[in-house]
Amino acid sequence: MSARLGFERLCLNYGAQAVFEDFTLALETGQATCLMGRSGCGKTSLLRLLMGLEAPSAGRVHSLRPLSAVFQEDRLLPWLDAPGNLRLCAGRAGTGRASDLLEGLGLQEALDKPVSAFSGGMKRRLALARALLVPFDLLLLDEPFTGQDEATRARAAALIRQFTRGKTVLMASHDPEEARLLGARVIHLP
Amino acid sequence: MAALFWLALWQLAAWAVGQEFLLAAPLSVLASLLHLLAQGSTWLAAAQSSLRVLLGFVLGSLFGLLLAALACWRPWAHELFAPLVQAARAVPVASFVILAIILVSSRWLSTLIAFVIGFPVVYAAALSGLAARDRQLDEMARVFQVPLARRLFALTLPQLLPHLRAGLVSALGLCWKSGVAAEVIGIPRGSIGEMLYATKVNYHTAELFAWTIFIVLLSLLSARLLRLFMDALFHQLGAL
Repeated sequence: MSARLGFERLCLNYGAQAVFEDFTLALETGQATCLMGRSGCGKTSLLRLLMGLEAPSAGRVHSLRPLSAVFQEDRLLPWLDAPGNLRLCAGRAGTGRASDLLEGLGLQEALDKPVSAFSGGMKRRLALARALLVPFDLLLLDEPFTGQDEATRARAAALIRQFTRGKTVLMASHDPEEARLLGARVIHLP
Repeated sequence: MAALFWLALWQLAAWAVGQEFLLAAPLSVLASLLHLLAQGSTWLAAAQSSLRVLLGFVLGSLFGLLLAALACWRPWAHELFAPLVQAARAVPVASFVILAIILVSSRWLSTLIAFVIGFPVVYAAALSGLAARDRQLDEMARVFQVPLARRLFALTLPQLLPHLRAGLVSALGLCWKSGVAAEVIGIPRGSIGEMLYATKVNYHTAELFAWTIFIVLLSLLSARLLRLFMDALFHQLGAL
């Protein structure tokens, strides 16, 4: 397999349940791809395999490093404020870019609040800001627009496109509109 | 109101018993306490005993934390430490004291006993805090390659502190109880334990009560300071 990103003869089992059996997928680098499929088809599992959080039962996983991610859950530290959450992952190096990102995602007015006081949509946008702030060659997005209204979703998608130009983006979603907003090639999982 | 009720009951009981050396009246105890507080030797004894008990508490807490971190990191360590911790919790304080008095001088007996009594409590609290931490945040830190020190101070400690706070306060109270008990048996010179022992030998029941109240006050004060320290630490970590 020549692709640097993808899965080769992948088998993945959770106990007795086989999620993937002899599954091969080559992904294009330097562009956005959207994995689509019904709930439970294994979209999140594929992203977790690429993150190195799970090991395949058999087969090979080809990932890129460094990578960044928006997880299925927000995974923010509720006792820290937004800049604190960004500093945790990006250090102090990205402070300037962090302000731009937070402003771009409409979070500039909530900077001094702890994340525990954020709405669900605000938390999601902060998780996205964190993912875009750290250096990466591969950006993994697991349902990144959950809880966003149409206007916010479009603004966030534009920001993702701006920050990932020429980079590899892999998104899991079941909404074709989200793939369209990112300009992503769609792959339907069985 | 509740305190007044119990004081009144105590006074009635003292009148009913009618023997000062069997049950001292509240006013006699108050007079003894004021007398104690006015003496320099009281504060010297308090300083010496506090230093030894608190040293044992601090060392025991650090040891408990270290063992808990190891036990959380490696399952075999958890199994290895289980009998040690169970023994430290189950063996009577008096047995430890009698054994320890052979091994160390009476001067440091309360330090050793506070250490042995305190560490299992802190170990259990730290272990439950580490077990209850959010594993999804650990995964997030792994994916973002958050440096170890930042992960420890910004992610792990804030989740651990609420569990640890309760465990440390509980351990501190036990350290005071067992530490003073050890001093009463070992009778190191100039300690609170020696003073307590003297009241027993001389049947100075009012003074015994007064010393007891003094020890309780020292214990409460140290617990209060510990809580303030933990709250300040939590606030500091939240601002990272």
